[in-house]
Amino acid sequence: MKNFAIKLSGPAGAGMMQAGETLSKALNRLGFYTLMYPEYPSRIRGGDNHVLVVFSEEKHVAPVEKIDLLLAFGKENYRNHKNEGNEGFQGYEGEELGLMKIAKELGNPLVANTAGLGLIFKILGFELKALEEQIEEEFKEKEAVKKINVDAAGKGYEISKSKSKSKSGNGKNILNYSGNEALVEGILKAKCGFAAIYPMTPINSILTMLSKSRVQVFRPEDEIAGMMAALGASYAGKRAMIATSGGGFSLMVEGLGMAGMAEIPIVCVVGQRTGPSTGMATYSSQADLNFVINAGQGEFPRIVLAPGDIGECFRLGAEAFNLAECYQVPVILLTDKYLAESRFSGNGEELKGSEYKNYNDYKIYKNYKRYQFTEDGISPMAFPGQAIVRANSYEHDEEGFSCDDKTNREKMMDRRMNKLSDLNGGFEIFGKGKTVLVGWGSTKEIILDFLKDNFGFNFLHIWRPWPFPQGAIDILRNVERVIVIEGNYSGQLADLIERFTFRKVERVLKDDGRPFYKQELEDKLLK
Amino acid sequence: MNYDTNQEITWCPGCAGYGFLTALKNALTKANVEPKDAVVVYDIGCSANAINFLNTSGVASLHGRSIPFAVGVKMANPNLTVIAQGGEGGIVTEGANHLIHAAQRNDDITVIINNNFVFALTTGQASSATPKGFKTRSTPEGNPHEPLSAVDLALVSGASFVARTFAFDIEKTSEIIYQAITHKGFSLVEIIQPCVVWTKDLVKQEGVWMKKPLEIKLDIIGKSNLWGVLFKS
Ligand SMILES: Cc1ncc(C[n+]2csc(CCOP(=O)(O)OP(=O)(O)O)c2C)c(N)n1
Ligand code: SF4
Ligand SMILES: [Mg+2]
Repeated sequence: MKNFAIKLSGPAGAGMMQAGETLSKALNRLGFYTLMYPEYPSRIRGGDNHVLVVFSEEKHVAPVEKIDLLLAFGKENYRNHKNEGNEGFQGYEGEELGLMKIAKELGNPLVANTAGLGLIFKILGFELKALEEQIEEEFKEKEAVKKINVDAAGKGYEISKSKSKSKSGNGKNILNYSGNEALVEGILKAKCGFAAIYPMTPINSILTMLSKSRVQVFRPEDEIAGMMAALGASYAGKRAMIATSGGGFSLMVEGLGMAGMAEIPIVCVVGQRTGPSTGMATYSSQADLNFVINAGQGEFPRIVLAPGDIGECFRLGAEAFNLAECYQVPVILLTDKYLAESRFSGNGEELKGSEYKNYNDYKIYKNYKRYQFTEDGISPMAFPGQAIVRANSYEHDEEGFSCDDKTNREKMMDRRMNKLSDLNGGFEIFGKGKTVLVGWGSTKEIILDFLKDNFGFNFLHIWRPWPFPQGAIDILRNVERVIVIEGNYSGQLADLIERFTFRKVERVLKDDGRPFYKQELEDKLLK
Repeated sequence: MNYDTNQEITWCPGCAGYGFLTALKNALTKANVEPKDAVVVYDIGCSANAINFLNTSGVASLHGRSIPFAVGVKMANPNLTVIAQGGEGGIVTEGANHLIHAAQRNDDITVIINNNFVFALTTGQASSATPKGFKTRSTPEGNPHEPLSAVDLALVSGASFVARTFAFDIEKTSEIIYQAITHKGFSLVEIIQPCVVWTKDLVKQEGVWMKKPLEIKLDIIGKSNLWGVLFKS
């Protein structure tokens, strides 16, 4: 079976996101892998919110531009998308079909979306059961809401006279996570203790989820305060993080430098959205790679991780805290709107295998020196209360006293700048072929979907763009053809590769705020 | 308890910093805080240039950002005695947003502002606390603006302990810092001090010392001639 694409569209406030989530999870229950990609303008009511739900019998599902089925809740919304159809396209408008009427009769106009899902299930030829079970799961704590939604789905199902019958997929126990949800699982796994988050798309749901967790959450007065408070909490002994997008991170840069200089571990989740400046606030981007690698005056070590799917969101979400603590450096977790807010599916392996690793001795120190010279450059970490701990944003001596001495400066710079020398890994290779496709971050699933149908390509996925992986340099120097695929205007990873390999690479770029679509990528790569 | 270090003190001879440092050590001694359990988060400026001079846990932070760092320290480990300290340039001019919000939340930290009315370390430009008409390196014709008062900002924002003292009155300053660091909730101590280089003749200690805190905030706001613990709730 080819991937099948459904679009739900309606005004903001009509529950498109929720419906998309329910639909994709119900399809998971039927054994299909799914992608749910939401697109919405920066407004809370009205307009055109739409979600794309693509399902497939195989893992790795890319977004598509051409859809097979449209269900719009409003004439305007219908008009917006009616020309996006594939061959065999079916388009429906909910008002005309009586979905709003069903909802009104049931006593809650808001369940029109659920009635629509019932209709879709019938059109697709699936039994209603999986959808009912999904609704029951979602509203298990609210009996009345559950009932009215189940009823709505049933009534919607009856509208269509379709007689088609379809087979279910083969997947078992398929899980469904947004990038942010998987990231939060990783954050919790790593025993993060403190999160300072000022709201900003696309990291808002991290704030919401962590607020309900055991993590101490601080909503600061601005991002500068958020970064500083997180550094304070880390200095005082908690694993700490911030989450923001480019605009907020711009405000945090001075604090980032302090983390580098004072060697205070910190995890910075930076969810990219379209810039520059306010850009397109609710659209995606991969244009902040240069920014996070270079942000801050002076030179200091940092690690940039760029998860590409929910498995990596989880694994790197946890590993970021281990690395920050191990090397006493800032670790930036670079995600984007597409990865953060879309929902992906997997078969359960994704959320396994990460562990919490501790690198500190919780003992009472005598004559403690925060910045002691050591063989590997990493000074033992203690927290105030354990010892007198002096952290310093000014150049300092071993004890943390401010110090302008030339020799001390040179030794301290050497120590800090060489801390990461034993880092390895940072990338993964898929497929076989003479042409190497290179991507980073959220293009991973999309390129893997491309590989399902197109042979002869090697795919190098870079999940740690900085420090740029030595192993990737060795590979890229010695292959015939390199095509770098990324969601920005200039090709920022491509520049990095050229800088480190001294070779030229080809660039497939896109900077319109949307993810690469399957067909679009094929057109660009197979031309 | 010994809070002395072996480091050279770099303030100018006659700088009010010396008086303040003695008062801070007195207060910590009286409150019986072990050096490892006191965290002083230093701002950036002359007065904040003190990480080398006090032997407690401490952090030399960023200009204007000592308060939010201190807030994070206290949230993570409430057993620590946490102080944010710096000049009025850092804490009021650059960092006023943090000052008013920490006061609003009544964060359990002490903020000590050494107010010498100018950016001293950057060679004497006008800060937002510089008196109107005062000539500085950035206001050769005289400062055109009415000054901002840290005491006023903290009061209207919800601070639960607000005091003003004079750096050379070491005894009173020691006692006031002691009260502030043992106060539960947000405490602000504004230390008025001359800078012998830039504001030598500006600072006069005129006005009245409060016997006890006032109850009505409006009796305090806008008055720079009241000294002592002005408000406590
Ligand atoms: C972000 C930033 N801006 C500017 C400076 C430069 N700077 C260092 S000290 C200072 C003024 C300090 O004035 P104040 O806080 O009143 O302290 P004082 O020197 O008067 O004691 C400034 C502007 C800086 N270090 N960081
Ligand atoms: S310039 Fe003023 S504030 Fe700075 S050390 Fe000298 S006297 Fe003190
Ligand atoms: Mg000053």
